[in-house]
Amino acid sequence: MDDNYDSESYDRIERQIMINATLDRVWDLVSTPGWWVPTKAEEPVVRTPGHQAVRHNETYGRFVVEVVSIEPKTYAAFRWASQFPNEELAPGRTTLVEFRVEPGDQGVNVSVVESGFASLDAPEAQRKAGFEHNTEGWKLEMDVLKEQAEGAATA
Amino acid sequence: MSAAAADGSPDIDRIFTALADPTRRLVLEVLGERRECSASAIARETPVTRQAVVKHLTVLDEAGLIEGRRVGREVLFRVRPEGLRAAAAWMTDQAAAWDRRLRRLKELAEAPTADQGHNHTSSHGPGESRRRTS
Repeated sequence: MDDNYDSESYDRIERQIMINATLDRVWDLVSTPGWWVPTKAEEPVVRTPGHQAVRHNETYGRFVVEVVSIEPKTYAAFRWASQFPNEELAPGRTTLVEFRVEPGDQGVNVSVVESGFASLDAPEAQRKAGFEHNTEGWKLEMDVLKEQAEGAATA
Repeated sequence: MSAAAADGSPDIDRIFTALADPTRRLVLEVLGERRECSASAIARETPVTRQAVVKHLTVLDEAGLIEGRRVGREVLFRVRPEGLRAAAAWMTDQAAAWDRRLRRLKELAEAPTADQGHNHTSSHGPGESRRRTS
């Protein structure tokens, strides 16, 4: 059978990366709510389940990221509405983003699973906006983040 | 017929909405295996009534995931792969976005920090609240 009919693949993404840094350092970054949305407007990092962090991105707007579950140095889960910039979280708008960190011989393995795409209740225009947002936008914004981070590191 | 066929471009959101239902995915999988078949034939292979199958086929058709043609008294349906390809491309893009974010995370984590000097130095304070980026 054609693997195109594997329906799970339309709901869920899983990626991972190996990072050569201490578990503490990796965990600190990974468990920061919304770290993947570059922002210049820093707010205090709160990791309490239920807390909603707000990340303002100059190009794409405001994203709310809710802390779902935290197991220190092991697992962090968040909800966000990537296809609904500037809107609040609501049923049918959010996906679940789960990070797992695991130290090994080669470094710290970080995996991310984002799920719930199939049940997003988005008009086509918004999903397309999300598409463009993700393809074109992240690279530029990540560079901003890098400058920021490097600036902070040497300050 | 299908909204997707009307202007030629797949309606991504309808596709995802159609795929969100497990029974519809089952119907689609049966269709994929059988190449072309009727609502009655699908009902025989699934624990779903013919009436329910017809409803699911309508949603799949509107999403542009299948198409039907009349043969005598029956309508035979088959999968339109274009719809699934569009959905797969969208998912691939989501995955690529995470690849970029993870690469950036790696660079950030591996970069020397002010209190650390080098990323191989051993432990330092509690990870929970150390970071201050402003």
